[in-house]
Amino acid sequence: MEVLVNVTIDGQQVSVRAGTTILDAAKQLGIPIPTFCYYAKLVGIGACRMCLVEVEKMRGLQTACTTKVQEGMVVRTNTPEVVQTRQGMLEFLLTNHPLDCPICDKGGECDLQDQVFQFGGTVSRYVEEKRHKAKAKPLGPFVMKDEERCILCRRCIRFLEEWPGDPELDAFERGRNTVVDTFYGRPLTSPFSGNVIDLCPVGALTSIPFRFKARSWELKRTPSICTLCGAGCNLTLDAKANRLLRAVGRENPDVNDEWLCDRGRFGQDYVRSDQRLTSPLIRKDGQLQPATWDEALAFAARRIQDIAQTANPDVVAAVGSARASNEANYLLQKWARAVVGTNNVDFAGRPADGFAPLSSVTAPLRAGVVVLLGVDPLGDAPMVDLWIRRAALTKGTRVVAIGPKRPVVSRYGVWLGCRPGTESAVLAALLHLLARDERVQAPAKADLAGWTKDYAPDRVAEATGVSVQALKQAADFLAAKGSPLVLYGGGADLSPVRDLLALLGGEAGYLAPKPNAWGALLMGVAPDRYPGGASVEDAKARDSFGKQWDARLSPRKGLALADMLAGCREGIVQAMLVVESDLVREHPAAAEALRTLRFLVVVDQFLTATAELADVVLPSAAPSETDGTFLNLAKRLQRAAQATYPPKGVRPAWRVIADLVDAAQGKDKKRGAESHWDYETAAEIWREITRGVPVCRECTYETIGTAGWQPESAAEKVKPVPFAVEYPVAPEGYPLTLAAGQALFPKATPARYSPALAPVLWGDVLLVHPKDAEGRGIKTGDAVRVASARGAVELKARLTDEVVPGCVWACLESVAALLEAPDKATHVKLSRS
Amino acid sequence: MAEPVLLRNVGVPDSHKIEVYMQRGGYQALRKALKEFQPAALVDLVKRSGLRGRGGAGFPAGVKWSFLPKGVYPRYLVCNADEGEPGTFKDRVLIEHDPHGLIEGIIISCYACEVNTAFIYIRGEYEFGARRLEQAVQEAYARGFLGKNILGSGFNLDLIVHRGAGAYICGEETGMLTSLEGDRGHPKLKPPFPASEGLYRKPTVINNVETLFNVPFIVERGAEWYTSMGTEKSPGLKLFCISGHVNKPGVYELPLATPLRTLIYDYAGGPLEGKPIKAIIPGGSSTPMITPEHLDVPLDYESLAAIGTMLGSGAVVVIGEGTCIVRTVERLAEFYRHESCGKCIPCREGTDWLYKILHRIEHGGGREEDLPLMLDICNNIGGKSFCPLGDAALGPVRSSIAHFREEYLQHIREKRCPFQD
Repeated sequence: MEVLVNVTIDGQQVSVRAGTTILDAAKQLGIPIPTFCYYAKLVGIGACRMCLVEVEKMRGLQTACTTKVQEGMVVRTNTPEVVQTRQGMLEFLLTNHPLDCPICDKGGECDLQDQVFQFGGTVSRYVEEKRHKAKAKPLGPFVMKDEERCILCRRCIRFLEEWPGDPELDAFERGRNTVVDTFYGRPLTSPFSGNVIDLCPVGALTSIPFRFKARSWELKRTPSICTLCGAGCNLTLDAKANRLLRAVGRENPDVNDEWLCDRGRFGQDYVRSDQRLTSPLIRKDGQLQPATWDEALAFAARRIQDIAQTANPDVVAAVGSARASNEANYLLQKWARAVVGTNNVDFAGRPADGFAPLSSVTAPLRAGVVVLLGVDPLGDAPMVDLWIRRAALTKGTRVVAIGPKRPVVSRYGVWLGCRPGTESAVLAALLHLLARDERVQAPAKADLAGWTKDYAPDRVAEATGVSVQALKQAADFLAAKGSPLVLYGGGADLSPVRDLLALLGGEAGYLAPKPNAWGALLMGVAPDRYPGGASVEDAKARDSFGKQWDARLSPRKGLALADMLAGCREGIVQAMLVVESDLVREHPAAAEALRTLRFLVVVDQFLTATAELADVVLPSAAPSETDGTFLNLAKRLQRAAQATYPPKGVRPAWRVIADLVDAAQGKDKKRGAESHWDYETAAEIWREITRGVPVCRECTYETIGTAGWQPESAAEKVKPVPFAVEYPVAPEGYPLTLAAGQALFPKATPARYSPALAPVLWGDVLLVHPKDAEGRGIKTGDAVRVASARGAVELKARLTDEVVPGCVWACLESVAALLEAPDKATHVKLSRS
Repeated sequence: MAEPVLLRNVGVPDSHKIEVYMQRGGYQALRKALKEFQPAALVDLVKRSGLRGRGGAGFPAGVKWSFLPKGVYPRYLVCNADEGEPGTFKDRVLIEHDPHGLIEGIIISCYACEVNTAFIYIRGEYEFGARRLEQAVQEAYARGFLGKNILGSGFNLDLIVHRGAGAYICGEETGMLTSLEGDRGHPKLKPPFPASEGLYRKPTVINNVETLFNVPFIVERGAEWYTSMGTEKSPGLKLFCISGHVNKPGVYELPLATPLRTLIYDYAGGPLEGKPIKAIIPGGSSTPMITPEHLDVPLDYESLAAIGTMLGSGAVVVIGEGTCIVRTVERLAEFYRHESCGKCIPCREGTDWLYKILHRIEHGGGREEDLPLMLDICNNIGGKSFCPLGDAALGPVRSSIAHFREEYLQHIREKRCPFQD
């Protein structure tokens, strides 16, 4: 039960929870107490002395930020001594402050400026020479440091220690010479380094990409979300004169607290890239050439119609995107189903049957052990990585990482570095140990002991390359801590995961790397499902959507993406509309398949590798240039709001699709159809979506608001099932296995177009274990050729023990063409070029 | 003069060696403590002796020990040998000449506090002392006074000598702990106090060298012997380090409440070259200076407090006529701004500012408004800094302005230091 204590602050009484600080109690009464070093989300240090207040019966002044209230405490925050103290502290701070507010980025949103204005004196009594320290010293690629402005509140130091656990900053020297710096002048490399800019109460740490771009009061501030991974972190997009200039974290305790990763913070500027498409393109004489919208839309609509009419509607396919909004995805499938008449609708990265969303982005906080099944959250969803670190630092959560590449967060536990494709076998070995561990209590234990008898650690160790000792260590974490959170990627085999949950409880979730994988699925961008999930073979649903869309809908299931691509070569698919998906860089065989199409239309912001193959390219707006909703990896529905207008000549993807329908109808207008495609805003599309999708029924743009909306979902009861693990066998001549994943700063669309991320982008690098490099004469930096049965690419080798021997690793976008399937490790050979 | 107690081994050849120490009765108190006392009885004994912390704050040692939370282990003891207060060099004498006396005191205190791991945090500049201590610790291990099952009592103790890296702030107890933990020497928030959550977040006793050094004598001779010396509130013996303008500077052992005049004239040989005394800093550089009218003040905690200063570490600095007070205070201010750790604003910025003003006055740039300004700065530091370092820096400034305002004004008027040719 909560114990309440009564305190009196400046004559006002308040009852607060025991353990509350004077500062928080005063906040409840609306009494302002100035602070600098205090930050609600960091451990208090009471160092700046700004918050000193008088407490009856206590000697001297007390720091309000660290002193806990006690029953009957009487606090005064406005006595002459307190007022004098605040003035004194501010005077001290200003003695050696450069007072360069007119050229300081922080001006207008600076705690020091604000507090001097509110609580400070008016005249300086300081006549001595000011101290001089380093100005404009970069700390890594994103953060610029001005030591003269620093007031040494240590927020930056503490953030890096307490949240990402990357203690890269500290105070150096002593007394008046103290400066915040990195050790040995090394660059700041924490993936979450940008947060120190938001945290800095003065202009000591500023953003290198944003420096000198705008004064804070000139910025138009739009609450929105990040769409550079599946986490959907809440942020504020700041623009000036229709130029998106910066992103800052926005508080949402259920998603990102208030933090951003550096990809999300600095990568939003891809919208300002000079490589943006600003005009439709039509292939003429083999070359893509600028065209007007009317020309391009009419041409595209006519060609698709011709192809559908000469063959049948099922030779047309539509590819949506986990990168596009619900509104765009919904209209795309509506176009395919209602206008073309086919169910050939799909997108890359569609969550497989049985995949589940995470309960929340913050799920690691509730886990005893986080099990990473072949995924690295730092690449796939950096905010989840941050929550894992936070859980490890504050709750002792352990990490068991299973996979060929070592994730950073495995430092909080154990890395079971296994050969690619043997992740399930490793999990089976853990189940073997857990089913025989007396600490584990579960009804399914006896069954599991039987099913896993062939997976004794020593046998699995040999087949997977994981040591018995490491397996035992991991099983010990699981048995001791319980409640695992299993995170898996696209190609996961879920049967052993289910068994683990049956034994220990906890949860498992698909770490969707793209911002709207669950949304695209919910919108019916699937060959067999309508929006909301009803089967296309369900006559009632077909009838209902047919009425709503005023069309006769096909009762046949469509082609899934892999079948569409396979069908291209055989003429089963002849025309394709691809919306905001760079298939060529993500999907094996896409390049080859798309080349054989009769007609390809690509809608995207850039001339991607996919768009380069198109017959018509239509430029679309980025999420920050239109409105739209996204469903993050926890199926939280959030709004990406319009922060700027799209560049001239660019339209939102949803409008492009609607315009394409209009263009077609210009030639052959369907009766009454006009009203169904006449959308003025994305909100109108959303209203239509809510009519057809039951879970969204109550939900409007207003109810989603700026905080998002999390539909209730009941956790599925898992039932253990027997399973068998197959070990991959290397074919003759391909001794190594290639695993592909995502880097923190991937060279994928759209991050690859961000000017701010350009210096840190993951290049075309192949990670090679030194053991594998040795016999082949490969050194770091060498150009190497990696070849599978499907093809070969040239990459730069980097020798590292982050990968297991026998495995090479690269970013998906570098090696997509080599893979058997997007999430499948593939046998390769490696040689020096 | 009475037979020396604390300094009884100083001057004895090879007094730092265990054989000599034992020949002279060393480690007998330890035997007695282990044999005749339960830990709680020892805590009680030290409490009854009234022994007060000799580092400067003067907190009763036995009371400090009794703050350890019951049943929480491990506990640690840290001996504060970071003797950094300017003017103080008494611990150094004990460490260099009688290291086993300290070790014996530590072992008994650890037994009393149920501590099995103890540290001596010695300031980096005491390299010779650290080596002596290292050697002595090894000797004590070899003889079974340290390690497992000490003298068959079942009591275990490991003692580790840890050298600081040269920071005054590490003499502040929480600063010492962060430094000992391998972090930057920075004071930590209190509460939690070290007694409940100190080193490695475990209950920790921190005592000064001289405090611990007294313990074996109290065990051997009893609490009544101790309280028979000094006053009721300041019982026992104290080491005074006297320096400055006296004929025989050094460390002297006297019962508390001995008059200042006795120390200066009877022990330290009186003022140097017979020059009149201008001012006295009675307890280390941070204690407010006093003028010769207080020469008869008894050197004990309460008498010095009554005249607005402190006994501190017992470091008496005598300043003779002809010495520039502004220059003296400037030099002290320079020390404090150099040693300010930088954690809190008032100490970091205030000590720097004070020094700059004093430097300006001493070098002919003083203004009349500088005196009220300095006092104002002192008010903004005093009681507002994170740890006592900020307050320590004010003693010389405030007291010198109070007693020697005219000398400051002379500097300001003449735009030069009148003591320089």
